[in-house]
This record gives sequence, structure tokens and C-alpha cells, in this order.
Amino acid sequence: MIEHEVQTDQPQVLSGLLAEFTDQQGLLEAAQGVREAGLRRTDCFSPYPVHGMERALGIRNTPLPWLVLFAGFAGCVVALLMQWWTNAVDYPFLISGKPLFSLPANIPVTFELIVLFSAFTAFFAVLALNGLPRFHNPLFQHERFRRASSDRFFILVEASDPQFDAIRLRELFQSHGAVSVEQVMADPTPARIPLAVHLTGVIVLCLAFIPPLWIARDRSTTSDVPRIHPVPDMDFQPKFKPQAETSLFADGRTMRLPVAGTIARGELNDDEHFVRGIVANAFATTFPAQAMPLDQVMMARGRERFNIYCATCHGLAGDGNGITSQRALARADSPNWRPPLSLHSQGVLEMPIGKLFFTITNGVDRQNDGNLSMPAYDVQIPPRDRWAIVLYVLALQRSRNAELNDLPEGARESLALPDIAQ
Amino acid sequence: MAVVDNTFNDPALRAPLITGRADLASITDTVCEITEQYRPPRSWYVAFIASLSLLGMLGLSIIYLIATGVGVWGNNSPVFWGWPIVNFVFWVGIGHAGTLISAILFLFRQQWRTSINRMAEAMTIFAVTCAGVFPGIHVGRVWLAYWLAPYPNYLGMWPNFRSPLLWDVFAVSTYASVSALFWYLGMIPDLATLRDRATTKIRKLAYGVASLGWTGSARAWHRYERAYLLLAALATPLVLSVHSVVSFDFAVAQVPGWHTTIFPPYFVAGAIFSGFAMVVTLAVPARAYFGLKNLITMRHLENMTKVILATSCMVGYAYGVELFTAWYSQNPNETFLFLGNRPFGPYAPAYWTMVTCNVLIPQLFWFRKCRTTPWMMVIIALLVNVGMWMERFVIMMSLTRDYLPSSWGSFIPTPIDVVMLIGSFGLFFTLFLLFCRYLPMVAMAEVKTVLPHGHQP
Amino acid sequence: MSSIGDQKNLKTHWRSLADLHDLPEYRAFAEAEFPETADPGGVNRRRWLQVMGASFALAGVAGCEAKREEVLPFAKRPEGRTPGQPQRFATAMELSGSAIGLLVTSVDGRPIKVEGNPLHPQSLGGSHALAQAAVLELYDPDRSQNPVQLAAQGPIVHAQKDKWSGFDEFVRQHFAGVKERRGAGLAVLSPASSSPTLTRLRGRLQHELPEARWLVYEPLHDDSVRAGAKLALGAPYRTQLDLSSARVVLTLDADLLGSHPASLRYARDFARGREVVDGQMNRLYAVESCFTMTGSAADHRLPIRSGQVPAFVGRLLQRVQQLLSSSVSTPSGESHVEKFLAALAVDLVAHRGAGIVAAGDQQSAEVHAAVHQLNALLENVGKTVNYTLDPSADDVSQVESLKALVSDMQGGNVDTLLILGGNPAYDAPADLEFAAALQKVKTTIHAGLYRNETARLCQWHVPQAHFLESWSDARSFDGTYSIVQPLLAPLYGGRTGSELVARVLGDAVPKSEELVRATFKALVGEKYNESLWRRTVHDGLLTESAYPAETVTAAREASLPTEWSEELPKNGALELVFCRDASVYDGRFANNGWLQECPDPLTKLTWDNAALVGSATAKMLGVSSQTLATLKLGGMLLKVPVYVMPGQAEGSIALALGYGRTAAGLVGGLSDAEVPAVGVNSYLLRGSQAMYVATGLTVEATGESHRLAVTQDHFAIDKVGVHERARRVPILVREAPLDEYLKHPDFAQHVEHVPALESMWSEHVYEGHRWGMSIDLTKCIGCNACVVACQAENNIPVVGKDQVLRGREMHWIRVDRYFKGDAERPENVEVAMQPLACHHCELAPCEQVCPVAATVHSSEGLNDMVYNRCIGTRYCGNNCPYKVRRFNYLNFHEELKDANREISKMVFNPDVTVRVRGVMEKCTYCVQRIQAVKIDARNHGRPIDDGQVVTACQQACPAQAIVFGDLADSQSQVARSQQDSRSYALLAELNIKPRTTYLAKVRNPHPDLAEVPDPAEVEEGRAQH
Repeated sequence: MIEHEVQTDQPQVLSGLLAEFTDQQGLLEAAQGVREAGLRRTDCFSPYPVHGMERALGIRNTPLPWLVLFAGFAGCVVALLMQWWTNAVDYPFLISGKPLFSLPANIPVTFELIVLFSAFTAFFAVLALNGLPRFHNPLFQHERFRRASSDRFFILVEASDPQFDAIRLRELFQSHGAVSVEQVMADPTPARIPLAVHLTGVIVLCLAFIPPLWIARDRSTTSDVPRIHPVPDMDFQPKFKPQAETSLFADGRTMRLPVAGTIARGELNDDEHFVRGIVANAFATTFPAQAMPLDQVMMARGRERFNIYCATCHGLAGDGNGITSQRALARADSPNWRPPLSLHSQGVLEMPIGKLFFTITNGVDRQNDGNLSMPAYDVQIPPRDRWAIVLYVLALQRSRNAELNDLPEGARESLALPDIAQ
Repeated sequence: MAVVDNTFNDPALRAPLITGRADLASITDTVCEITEQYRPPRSWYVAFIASLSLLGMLGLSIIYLIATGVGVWGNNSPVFWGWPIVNFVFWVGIGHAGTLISAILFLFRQQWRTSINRMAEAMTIFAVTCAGVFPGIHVGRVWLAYWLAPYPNYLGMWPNFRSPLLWDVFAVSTYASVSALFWYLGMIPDLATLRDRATTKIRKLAYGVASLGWTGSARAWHRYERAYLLLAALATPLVLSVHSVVSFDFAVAQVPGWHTTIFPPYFVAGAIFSGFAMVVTLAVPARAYFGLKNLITMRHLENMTKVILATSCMVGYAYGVELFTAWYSQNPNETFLFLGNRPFGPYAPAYWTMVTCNVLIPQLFWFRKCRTTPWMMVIIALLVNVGMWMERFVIMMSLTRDYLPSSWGSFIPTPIDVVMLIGSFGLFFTLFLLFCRYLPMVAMAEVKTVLPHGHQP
Repeated sequence: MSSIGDQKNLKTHWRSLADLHDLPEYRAFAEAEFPETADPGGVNRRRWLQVMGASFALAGVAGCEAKREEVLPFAKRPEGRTPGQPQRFATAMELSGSAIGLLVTSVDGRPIKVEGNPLHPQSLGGSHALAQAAVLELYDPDRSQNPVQLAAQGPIVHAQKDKWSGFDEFVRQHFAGVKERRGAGLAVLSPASSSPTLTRLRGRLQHELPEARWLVYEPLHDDSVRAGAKLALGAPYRTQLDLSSARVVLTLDADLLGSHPASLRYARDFARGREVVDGQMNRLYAVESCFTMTGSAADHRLPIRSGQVPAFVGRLLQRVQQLLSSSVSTPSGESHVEKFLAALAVDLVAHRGAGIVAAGDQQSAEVHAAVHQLNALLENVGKTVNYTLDPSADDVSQVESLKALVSDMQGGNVDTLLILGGNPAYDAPADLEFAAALQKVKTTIHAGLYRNETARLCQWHVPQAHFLESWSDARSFDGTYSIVQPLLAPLYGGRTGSELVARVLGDAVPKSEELVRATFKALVGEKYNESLWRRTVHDGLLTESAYPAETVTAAREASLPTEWSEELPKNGALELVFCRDASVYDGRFANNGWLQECPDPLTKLTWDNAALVGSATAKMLGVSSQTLATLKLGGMLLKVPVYVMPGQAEGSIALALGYGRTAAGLVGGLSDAEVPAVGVNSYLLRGSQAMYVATGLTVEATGESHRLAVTQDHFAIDKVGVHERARRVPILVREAPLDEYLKHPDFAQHVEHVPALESMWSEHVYEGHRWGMSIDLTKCIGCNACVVACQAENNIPVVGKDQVLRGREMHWIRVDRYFKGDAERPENVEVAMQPLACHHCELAPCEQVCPVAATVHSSEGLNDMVYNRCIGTRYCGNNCPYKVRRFNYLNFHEELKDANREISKMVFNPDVTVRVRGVMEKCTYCVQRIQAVKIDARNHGRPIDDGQVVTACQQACPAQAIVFGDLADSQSQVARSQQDSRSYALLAELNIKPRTTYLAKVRNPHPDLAEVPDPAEVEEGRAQH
């Protein structure tokens, strides 16, 4: 029968009474006794789960299973939603002719996620309910209590229990064969975690935020720096892309010039009329056969091409007031800008259509100083389109000085005649 | 101390699961002393260095692989998957015994599990680690392996959930994490024991943190048991699902020899089979070496050999059924592969090794002598593991001859293949040796529960 | 088996050159050969070394730094050129004196793809593998780049800016002297050429330098053909065949569909003749020693030694004469040959005027004479057989004239030898010892694409321009005149043969275009005008320029042996047949990776040549496939690996020419850089007496073995596998004789019955286009044109022998070759060819297993491969039942990191991704071509017509066996041929709904000879090898 107190320097208050037993039988009886004595704030400690203890201490059932069940459901729902949304909604694919969403294919993943969610819940829930991790516990100060995890059994009654009476308890314990009874002292001030731990925790937390923030920024912003290729894979392929550079040739170009005199398939262009607008060394006055038929389709094409290639200088209506020209004239620093002709000027109106075509093809040099006033469009616009443009230009010109009876029957009424009358 | 024979089968009296001086303290001492010696015996170092160097070889060959490309393996067309996947399936299979012992036997209230479940679970986790290495490095562009995860990426696209490989990713990672939790949860009370016996500062701190301040309070025990039961109940279907999913990699494909519905059960049986073989291979030397003969008794070993025998028969049955289905289906491709190519084709030696090691040799366990002689068990267990590796190899070689004879090919492993297989064992044993040295090899708290209580000093 | 890293092993094979860089020899070589065209002022070697360093660095780290890409547009864009938009130029490729018309696609002025010229009567749009691979040769960094002068202290490379000055100066001085001597002592040795310009200059030369001599030598010459014609017809007439209207064709060692100069046209006509029109189709008999493409397409093939052919023809002649005189056929003997003869004779006579008898180059003049006589007797002349004048001025035997030259060289009567291309030091008859004679000649000048074996022995070597970079002209086999127009300026400033000759003749600065134009003027006479010239250049041919048919008749009675002996010659009396190689031709293409890796049509052999031995002979000799054997012939020895070939005539051994090059380049072998030769040099056994067929051969196994890289049935094939293969082949390649086809037009549907296939899901409905393909097995002759065409179009890498041995070849389309019949009885062996590319299954098994969705279906039913999404799990490859998916196990473009190889990047098709290691790839149905057509159609707002989308394989196919198009349009050609009764899907039982289907093969056996080969026991035969 030993007795002694735990010596500690700082003032401590009694937090409970701890009795030690050598076998689980004694512990159970003691627990019973304590409970009969009406004490409630008690707990037992044993190296392994002692059965019957729940009843002896009147421990209520834990809600753990319900938590796990819920987690399981959550896992199921999450899994199914994820698979449905990713494969069938957000980025649907036609794969092996299968439907976008089909349960059979999604069962395995669903099952695994159910298990995963439940397992994690079970694990962390039990820790939480047991108040673990808890590294500071007054019991740990007791040398003898160390055997609680090996071969001894302990019962603790907390002093806070209304029925707590040290003397009576001690007798009770001894009557059940406690090998020792100790007072458990605890300092009233709650244990504080040292500042260092706090600090490191905070710092780590901050550092942890840097990478995700970085990524978030890079994803949301644009940058003019070429992106870094840790593993270039197929970002730079050994093939030569159009207009790329190479160390191979003196001019540094991957594009090579054709050999003079060679003729690509389909570019024979030996029809003077069609490709140069010239018939018998004179400008053609008719459209070539390849430009036929001169129908609405051709006209529409001409209008489209005109608005793409010509309108920037000549203006949509051909008055020579395209935006390029306007800007150039507005700027002081472009003295040698040669404003484009209006397509409705007399000179142009008198041109044979061959000349119109020839001009589009080869450009014009009005000052005869070798600098083109209008560049040649032979490269950009294939011949048939050039003829389409010519057709459209004729239409534009005609639209300025059309007679009423040029209009088809029925269309005339649509015009507001009084205006013309004025 | 004299080893008592507890392998008798007299229904009248219950054979003791723990022999020798079986009281709480002595159990604690036997188990804890292993980790508490000031320095481990020289032989431990020898073993550790050896396995560490193997691990090093694995590491080097992986670097070489990533630098050069998967062409360093013997893989080719038509054998797009070679040894790496064989090793993967092999290791995943090994893992299963652990979960089975800890979870399923727990649900069945098989108390003899308590002495070996800790070691088995450890083995599970290490095996799964080894398994995890291979699919990771197996892809052609390792640096993009993370694309398997469903995370929002700049391509704006998601993985394809119809692919068995993706099921694998989920199954294996779930399996790894759940077994780890299960293992750790079971270890908390024992870590507390180590903490309470700790003398040096480092051990105090380490085990103190690891045991999360466990006191063994009755309320804690109550919830703990609930949680443990739940985890066991979850791990049981999980372990069954994992190898089924692994088998889907093959069963869902339409390669003759892969496309069979028997695969899931047959893979699970095979997994448990090889797993138990591995446990025996580890437990026998370990109990002898660390003086655990009284905790891991002959009865434990015998029970395991019985499980091996049973699963061996299941596997044998599966082999038989495979042949029967092939013949009964009269599907020419199947018939050729199962009845022609496997037993008599270029890889026939592998096939017959598999049959011998997995079906014939384990039949020796019908003899009590073999069930109770440790060295015999070990030899048989080793052969079983060889056989199970061969089984996966044979399955993989179905690729060499599928539909068009013009594209039939063959597979020849390169030295790198071999190094990686050996290296994976290095990884496994390195981890296992560390476990023996620093963690409780036997679940003390659980063993204590199965003691015939009462005779305490 | 060694690992990839094993340097020793790597050295022996073509592969990334990274491991060569550390060799001093290589560095020296590289510096000598460095392209002057790269950075002016020579290469800055620093950069070169940097890049080399990079190539050693880990693949991952290579391009880690951020990289800016410059855009360099043209200041003035050439007319009709849009950056990135392809243009097509007509040109022509000449091979051994006859040309085929080509249409070459060029992007941004870089030719990247060769196709047949549809307007050209000799190609009709088709082309062969050799033509397809021309672009790779054009951009070969190993090509000769500078004039090299041999000096005492070694070769001097003239790599400065005006690198030709030295040579031109030399020519001016030297040939001034030659002129004074009126050409005495000058000899010009040129390969056969049909170029009218060269012929014109040759005339000039012989006129201005009467003492000079000009001779022609081709290793694969047709001496006996011309000699035979002279014998029978009095002059070396050229025989023109019309296979389209022929009903019965007999070939005697003649590969009309494969190696014949007119093979493209013949293949097309033959294929047309295979179409069953009112119950009729043509019938082809092939009598040959070694398997040719023609033999594989034949209805009846009689494998006999080339030495037996004369007797065969003799007996045939007898029978035919008998039949014609007294229309009673003599009873056929028991032996197979007798039966064959009898049936053949009857058939030929029955189809008088609609038959063809043709003999090959390796048959003697006598045989050819007899053939002319036969054709005359059978009234084929003027109908299916026509004669035109032979353009080659000299009807003398090439071998004889070469002999004469060599003896004069030995005698020191030749002091200047100008070799215009060719490689006589390597391919001249061994017994002439040309190389030795060359040393005796004071001045030797060699012009060529490569600094080859001959070039290295000559005082001067000058780089020749590739035909794709030079103005020239040529005539095809039928005489059609084509202008060869250049696709780009000479990369290495090379010159054409005509330019060199003109310079020799003293022209100041000859321009090849003017030379050609001058010839053209002379050719067309007063019809000449600019627009005719432009038209000819544009079309690539001059219409109506084919040789006119001459009316001649075989006067002379052929005198041929008729005694026949069946017994097998003993070892020591074996026959050796030198044959043209399908890949490297006579050796000139040895440095062409595409061709080296292109599997031989029948052996499926890559990166090697082998002695083809019949199975019985193999047993007799105690050799088997891959054993290294010593071939002894007339005191000369050669170690050659053996390949046991079903259907090879027993007692006759075939050996391909053109391998064992020691100065081909880093691909084909280059002793300077320690790159070992590919294959063995069979010219060493080839004497001037027996240029094609030699007898008295001894074969001894050395006990060593040599691994042959074959892409199909690797030799270790066991009985079980053999049985199974034999069982499956008839199901996979479905075929029937004509009469059965006429009885059951849908026989292909009943080869195999599978239960009704049902899908678990309601299947996807495709709106819009549904692309599909149909391949006619009756037409396919397995010529590999599609394989190389695909490689060129889709930037498919060359992997090298080592990787092929590991089963990692990358071809997107392959031609499966199955043998049927009893290998023990060669005459019983048949071949089935089956081109195979991705089938674009609608229920593609590869897609569902990819975890990252890197292979998915397009809305038009294409099975798309998303390279940059692929992480390389290779699961799709496993799950593909056709095994058409290819995986980049290593970085097969590694060697491009070397600045020296920069130029080879020009060959890549910019519209197709160049894949890296770790990525899966496969046939895309040429999706880039589909897109191009779609874009064009949308721009012009018109629909896509059938036949507008043409895949590369379809385009290249000379037999038009492949049809591609939109299945949604029920009138499209492909839709109609998929509805054909012969149409069947491969492995349909898997319910994967392939978009590619096959048209079953119809054979036309002679009723008397028809025998059903029993596959089972056949393959037994193969099993023993």
C-alpha cells in the first residue's frame, strides 16, 4: 500500500484521483462501485479495450457509424456528378460510339470514391471524437501511469464531480484492491502552445499559398514573354513552317523562290485575255470565257473581293476616299502619298475593261517614276476574282449615272421619284 | 523457452494462440525490445545495405528510362505492355493478403490474425508502393502522367472515365490510402506503448507525436473499436474491388486471352494466394530472428498454409475453367490461345511453370509435415510467388498472338527490365526492414485481448 | 539481346547519330562535308558543337529556354504563291534509261511529296516506291556538296564561295589538250540515259572529238533483250506490251509489274484486265526462279531455275507449233511441268492475238528470240505486242564495251576518263577489276550525287544536281518526251551531266535550261513556239511523242534445247541469280532510309539482302533462315545470310544486288565514319560472263548466324502458330477462283458466319461526311508504293535495323503477305497480299481504353489521334485488333538535333505533326488532305465532289486498288465498291464496324491446273525452318 504525491513547483489544484489495478477484474469492480456511489465524471484506462466497461461506466453509443454512412452517400453523389459533368457536359467526346454517360462504365470509380470518403471520415472522426491529437495531459506526469499502455489498469475520478470526496473514494478504491491511489494535480492555467509553433505554423501556411496564387495569376493574365517549355515535346517541331527561319540558307528563309521558267500545274496562264486582259495587243473590251457567266454569283463575288482589296483606298463606293487614303492625307508625315483615283472619274469611266483588269493585275505608276501609285494585285487575287472585281466596278460606275428605264419593271416604283425630279 | 505445440485440432479444448510466458508485460517486452535495442544486430545492417543498393539500381534505371524513353524496355508492337505491367499486377496482388488478414479475418472474428496482421498490413502498404512505381513510369511521357487526374487544365478537357486504366488510378490510390489509414489507426495504441517506454528524447518526441497522445481511456477505446470495425468493413469490399479493377485492365480489352469474365474472382483469389505466400516468406524468418515464436506460433503459420492451399485450389480451378470456357465457346481465337498457344506455344515454359508452382506444389500442404516445417513452407511460398509472377507474364504474352498472324510478335526483356524487377524487391525490403526496426511488428494491444485472462501476476 | 544504350550494338545499325559524334573520324568527315549553303563563311562550328551537345543532353532538357520564332516573309511574293499553300510541278524521273512522269508537290518552294503525273501515259498518276523516296534523297545531308580533288596529301575539298572555279580552270586547260588530240585517249562512261539533250551533246562530242569514245554501262543492263531482238528481228527493237487487252500473259523471269521500266503502266493495265467483265478476266502465268511481284499476282506460277527456262520455252514452242499445225494437243505427261506446258500452250493458242509472252533481262538472247517468234506465231504482234525502235544509239553490249574500255585502261590507252554518274568501281563485273584499272588512268573525273566508291578513286569528283533541282529532259519506255523541270535551285550548287559535257566541249557558261530548250527546238522543228514549250513544261510531257510502232516480224527459227531434267542440282552445281533489289535498286538508293526500311514485297526483309533458298534446297544444304552461309562461285567467296523462301525454285538461289556499300553515306554504310555497310556486296560474285545467272555455286553453312530484320512472321514460328495461321489466312484474305465467283458472287460473305452482332447502345448517327476506304485485293500487287508514299506524306520516321528487329517499325500502312500452299512443293505456293492501315472503326476499341481521351472520334467518323494529349499508356495499341497503331518508343528524330542534318528537315510535310517519343500514332486517312479539300471547297462555296479527296496511298497505287471517299454519298466510288458483293470487313465479328473494307480476291486458274492448296500442311513446311 503505497501513497505519495506528485511534487511540482508551481501551485497546482487537485484535478482528480487516480487508482491503479493489476488486472481488469479489479478495474471493472472499482468502476462499478464508483458508479454505484453516484460518481459520473470518471474514466478508466487500460492497455487494451476491456469489455463490459461500457456498461460499467455507462458510455453512450458513438454517432460514428452515422457520419460514415453520410460520407458514403456524399462519395457516391460526388463521383457520379463528376463523371457525368466532365464526360457528358463540360467536354463531351464521341468515344467508341458509346453514349456520353452510361452507368456501367462509371460504377468502379463511384465505388472507390464511396470507400475513400467513408474511410477518411471514419479515421478523422474517431480522432476528433477522442479529442486527439492531445499532447498535453496531466496524467502523463504520473510515472506509474506509463504502464497504462502496457500491463496496468487505472481509474480516474475527476475532482469536478459534485459527489467527489477524496477520503471516501480512496477507501472505495482500496476495497477493490487498488495497488496505488494518487492525486492528479493540474495547473489551473490551460496549457499554452509555445509561440514558436504558432509562428512556424503561420509561415508555412503563408508559403503554402504562394504556388496556387502564382498559378492563378499566370492563368488569368497574359504575357508577351514566350512561355517556358520545361519539356518542349512537340512545341518546336523539326519541320519548316511557312515563313520560318533556318540556318541553312544565306537569306535565313525556309521558303525558297521558284526556279525561273518553271510552271506549276494549273498556272500555265497562256490565255492572254484571261490573265492579262489583252486581246491582240490591245486591251480587251469583253469578258473572257473563263469569267462567264456574268451572273449574280459573279457580281456578289466581285463585291466581296472589292470590299476586301480595293475599298480600303478607293472607298466602298469607289470615290477614292477609302480609310487608308483618308488617314494618309490626314497625316503630315506622308507627303508622297498618292491619293487613289475615284472610279467615277472620267479617265476611269473611259477605260476599256481590259485596262481595268490590267491595272488591278499590274498596278499603276501615274508619275512614271518607277514607284507604283497602286500596287499590283496579281499575287493576291486570282484572275477570275479580278474579273469579278472588274464586273463590280462597272456596276458601281453604272450606279452613278443610271437611267430610270435601266431599272427592271417593278423596281422603279421602289425609288422615290420626286427626288430625281428635283 | 520451450515451444509448445499448439497445432492440435481437438474440438474439446481450445488451442492457446500465445505460448510461453504469456502475460501482458512479457508481450509488451517481447515486441518493444525489438525496437528498443540501442543498435540493431549487424545482420540487419547487411540486409539493409543489400536491399538499399537494389533500390539504388531501381532509381538509376528509372532515371535512364526517363532520359531515353520507354524503348529501353523490351516492349514493342504488338506487346505494348511488357514486364512493367506484369510487375505492377504482381505487387498489387501481394498487397492483398495484408488487408485480408487485417480486415476480413477481423470481421470473421479470427483471433489468430492478431499476431500477424500488423506485419501483413505493413507488407500490403510496401507492396502497393512497389506496384505504384510501375504504372507511373510506364507511360511514354512520364512528365505528363498527372493528366490522368481529373483536374481543370489548360486544355480544358477531362480524363476518359470509360477507361479501365482510369478506374485503376482511382482503385489503387484509394486502396493505398485506406490501407495506410487502417494500418496507422491500428498502430496508435502500440505507438503509445512505445512512447511510454521511451527513454531517449528523440524516441519520446517521435512516438509521442505519432501516438497523438493516446491514453487508452475507456471512452477512446469504445469509439476506437467502432472505427476499426467500420474501416475493416470498408476495406473488405475495397480489397476485393481493387484486384477486380486491375483485372478489368485485361478483361475489358478485347485481346484473346484477356477478354474473359472469370478474371475478377480469379485475380482476387490469386492475389490472396500470392499475398499469403509472401506473408509466410516474411513471417517465418522474422519470428525466428526477432524471437517472436511465442506470438507468431506454429498454429499461425499452419493456418496460413491452409489458406494458401485453399486459394491454390481456387486458382487451379480458375485455370481449368479458362480452358473449359475456351473449348466450350468454340471461339477459334480463344481456343487457339488457351488450348494451343499457351500450353504448346513459344511461352509454354512460362505456362507450365505457372501451373506447377501455383497448382501442383502447394498441394504438398495436404501433409501436416509440410504445414508445420518452417523451411518447407518458405520454399513452397517462394515457389508460389514465382508461379504467380509467371501467371501475370503468361497473361501479358497473350498480346504476342492476337487476331492477325501478320502482326504476331514476340517479347524479349532487356537488362533494364530485369534490373527494374529486382530493384522493386529492393524497395520492398528496404521499407520492410525499416518497419521491423522502428515500429511494433506485432499488434500488442490486440494480442493482449486474446490472452486467456485471469492468470496475472 | 542488348539494351538500347549498348553502343557496340547501335554502331552496327542506322539510328540516331548522336553516338557517332565523339568519333574523330566522324568529326573530320562532318567538317569536310559540311554544307557550304549553311551560314555563309562556312559553318560557325561553335553552333554546330552546341547543337551536338544538346543532342547529348537529356531529351527533356533540350529546349528549356524560352524561344522566339522569327517570321520571314518574302518582300515580293512570287505569283500564284501563298505561304503554306502547296503547288504542283510536273517533272520526270529517269531510271536506267527510261523515265516516268511525275507531279511533285512543293510547299513554299520546297518539294516534299512525289506523285505520278496523271497526264503521263506511262504512269497515269501512279508511282513506285523509288520515285516516292526521291525527296529524301534530294535532302540527304550525305550528298556530295563540293568538288573534291585527289592530291598526294589526300582529298582537297573546294568548299569556298566559288567552289567551281578550281574545277572549271582544270577543265579548260585539260580539255584544250584533249581537243588537240581530237579526243584521243578520252573516254566518257555514263549510265544509260534517254535524255535527248545528253544524246545531242554526245553526238556533238563524238563529232568534235572523233577519237573519243562514249560508252554506257548499267549494272542492271538489258543487253540480252536487245541482242535477242536483233537476233530475231534484225534490229534491237523495243517491245511494247498492251496488258489491258491481253487475255493470257506468260512471263518468263520477267517482272512486268515490278521491275520493268513500264511497270506502272503495265500494273494499271493488268489491274484493269483483272476486272471481271461478262465472266471474263485475264490470266497470268509466271515462270520464274525467284518470287517476283508478277509471280505473286499470277494465277499460275511455275518456279523453275532460270537455267531451265530455255528448255521450257523450247518445249512450249514445240507444243504451240504442233497445236497450230495439227490442232490436236499432244497428251500431257505426268509431271507438273508437262501439265503446265500443255495447259499453257492450249491457252495461248486459244487466245491467239490476245496473248503476251515476255521474257526478263536475265534470260539469254536465244530465249528472247524465241519469245519474239512465239508472239509472232500466236499472232500477238501488232495487237498486244508492238515493236518500236530502240532509242539507244549503240546496240553493242554494255558489258562488252566496258570490257574493252577496262582492257584499254589497263593498257594505258585511256588517259582521261569522265564518269557521268554511276558507280562502276562498285558495280562493274568483279572479274574486270575496274577499280584497279582506274588507277592506271591519268585523269579521272567523276560526277555524281554522292562521293561514292568510284568518286573516291578519281582525281576529281564534282557534285551532280539531283533531278528535282535540274533542268533536263527524258523519254519514257514508250518514248514519250518529258521535260524535267527543277523544283528548287540546286541545294549544293550541283551541275547536270549535260552542263558538264557542254563545258568539256568548251561552252563558256552552259545553262541547262538553254541546253534543254535547244534540244526541244530541234525535236519539234518548225512547230516550236513559246506556248508549246510552256505547255510541255507545264504538262510534263509532249503529246504524241511516243515512238511509232514498227511493223517487223520474227524471221528466224529459235534454236533452244528441249530436253528436260527434273532432278535437283547438287551443291556445287547450284544456280545463283542476281536480282534487282526492290529497295535499293542497283545500290544507288542505299543511303535512302525510307527505302532501306521499306520491307521487301515478298520477303518482308529490311536493312539487308539475303540468299533466298527454297526449302528442299535448304534441307539439302543444311541451312535455315538466318544462318550465315558462304557462297563460293568461281573462286570468289561471300558470306551471306540465308532466307528460306517458299516458292523459290529448288536448286536456284537468288541474291539481291546493291548492298554492302562502303561509301554510300551514314545510312547505307560509310567506312570513313565507321558506319558499317548495310547487307553484303553481291557484286563481288558477279562476273562479266554471268551477269544475271551463274551456275556452279557452292553453299556452306558457316555455323555463325545473322539476325535478319523482317517485319512479318519472325522465324521462330512454332507448329501451333503455323497451324493457326494457316487456318486464319483464308478467312482474313478471302479469295475464290473465277468460276466460283461467277456462281456465287457473294462468296466473300460466306467464308465465315458469325452470330448477329448487336450493340449495347443505340449507335451514333453521322450527319455530313462519312469517310471510308475500300481496297481491292484482286488488284493489289503488293508493290509498297503506298507504304513509302504514306511515309513521305505523314512524316513517318525511319527507326533503323535494331528497332525493326525489336518489332518497332513505324509504317502507318503495311502490306501483309501470306503464303498459301505447300512450301515443300514450290509450284504449289501462292501469295496473298493485303494492305493494312487504320480501319477507323466506328466502334473503335482503341478509344474507350484511353484514359486521357487522346484518341476520339471526329464528327465525320475519323478515328482521330490527338498527339499532344497522348501520354503514351499504349493501351490503345493493345486493344487494336489490327495492330496498326505505332508507338514512338524512342525519339526517332534524334539525329535532327545535329546541325549537320538540318537540311533533312526540309523533307517534312509542314501540314503534319512531327511526333516525339512517348506518343502513339497511326493512319489518319490523310486528314490534312481532307481538311485542305474542305477548306478549298468552303472558300469557293462549292460542294466536295467524289474523288476530290485522295489519300497518299490511294494516289500512289499504280493498280488503283485503293478507293477513298465519302460513304454518305451513295453514288461515290467508295460507297459503290463497299456495296459490291465481293466487299467484306476484316474481323467483322468483333462488331467494331471498320470504315475500311476489302474486295475479295478473284483468281483465274486454268481448269486443268486448278488445284486447291491445302494450307494446313503447307505451312508445316514453313514450320521446319
